[in-house]
Amino acid sequence: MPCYAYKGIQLRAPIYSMVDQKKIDRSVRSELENGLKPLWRFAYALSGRADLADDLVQSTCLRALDKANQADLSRALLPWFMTICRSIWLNETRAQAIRRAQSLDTTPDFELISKEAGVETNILSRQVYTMLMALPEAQRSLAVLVFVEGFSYTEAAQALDVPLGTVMSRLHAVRNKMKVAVDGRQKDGMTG
Amino acid sequence: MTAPSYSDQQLKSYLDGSFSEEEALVFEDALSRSPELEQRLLALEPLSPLACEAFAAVPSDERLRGLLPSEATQKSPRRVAQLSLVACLAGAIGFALAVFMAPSNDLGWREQIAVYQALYVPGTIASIEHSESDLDLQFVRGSNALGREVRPDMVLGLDGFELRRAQVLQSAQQKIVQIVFAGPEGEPFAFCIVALDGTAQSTDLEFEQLAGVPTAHWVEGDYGYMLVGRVAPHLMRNAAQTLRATF
Repeated sequence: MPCYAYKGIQLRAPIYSMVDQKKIDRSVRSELENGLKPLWRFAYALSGRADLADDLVQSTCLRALDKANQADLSRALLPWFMTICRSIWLNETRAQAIRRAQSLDTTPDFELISKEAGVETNILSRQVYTMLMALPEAQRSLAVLVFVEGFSYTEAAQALDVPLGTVMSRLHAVRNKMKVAVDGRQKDGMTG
Repeated sequence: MTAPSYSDQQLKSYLDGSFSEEEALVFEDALSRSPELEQRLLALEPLSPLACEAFAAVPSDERLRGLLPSEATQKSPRRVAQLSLVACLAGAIGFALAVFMAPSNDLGWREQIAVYQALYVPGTIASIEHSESDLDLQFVRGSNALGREVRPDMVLGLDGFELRRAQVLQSAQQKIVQIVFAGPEGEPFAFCIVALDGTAQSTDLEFEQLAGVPTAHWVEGDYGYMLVGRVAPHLMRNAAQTLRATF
């Protein structure tokens, strides 16, 4: 909430603040609307399940709108949404999901693979998708942020609240595990 | 000191994992200080195009938009929360007044429990802590009051809930054992068991709002069971289904 300084005394201006708050609320809502796809993919990468991803996105939207006054509108809000999403996952939904499913081993159902892709691409996509979803949760969510959503390493580190070094070592582990798929693609001459 | 410069070939070697541990550390230090180097490395990530294809399809825009609360229903969550709380309290107080002004035998066991629980707030249970042996003793007292065995292990493992205490309550007609939990946000939540008079008919699990508080209840044999508390609907549903399988 902005404050207006007058002769060294902080005076709050409630009317202006209300107007500002409405503006902030609208901006956050608009950013959420634009970020629903990446947010859902991230929620899916965290939870490994479409229904949980829906719940997570819904809770994230509510939380973000509720905390709109904390949003830094000078920056893209998607990383902030991801941070909220992850926090809800870790603090609220995860334990419940684990207890419900006994584990978070995911059974990929390929629902995220584009139906428009060619047959060969689709087979490879399935392989990549299966391998990505079989990664441990921390690596999987990071891989989606960096490889799918285009987050920089630094942004991913901030969103996941881990040091950059951790991001790099986790990505290194992901690259090692995914090497088979990458090599397969290179052999098939499918890389540009 | 000038930051070391890296060719694309060297960046690919890093991505391949061909750098020694020491080289990788030096490189990552340079990376942390150079957004430009970071962007160059990101552009060479071999997994990016593959992962993008693998995650190409997401639920439709329409379905995703449905996950965003509408402005009409979510004008201001803070305001909504405040209004909900006021409405709940007003409802509970109104209901409680009606209850206290009416003869207590006019109310069913479900309504009595709901009215009692409606007065619980997170602060009511915030400081309740009991050792395992205390809890065991409380459950023994509860079992004696009900004439049926209830143990802590029968109510543990409820998703999102932490067991706080068990106590015996007495209404005009029935003995009630109230097992109190804290929800994920410290919300008070209770599982209540009531000894009925033996003429009650078994009922299926039902979800109902009573005295402004969400509840789930059923009757099995000579006992009535009820979950009550202002918790997320999915938590209520899961807890009810878990306990219904046991009781």
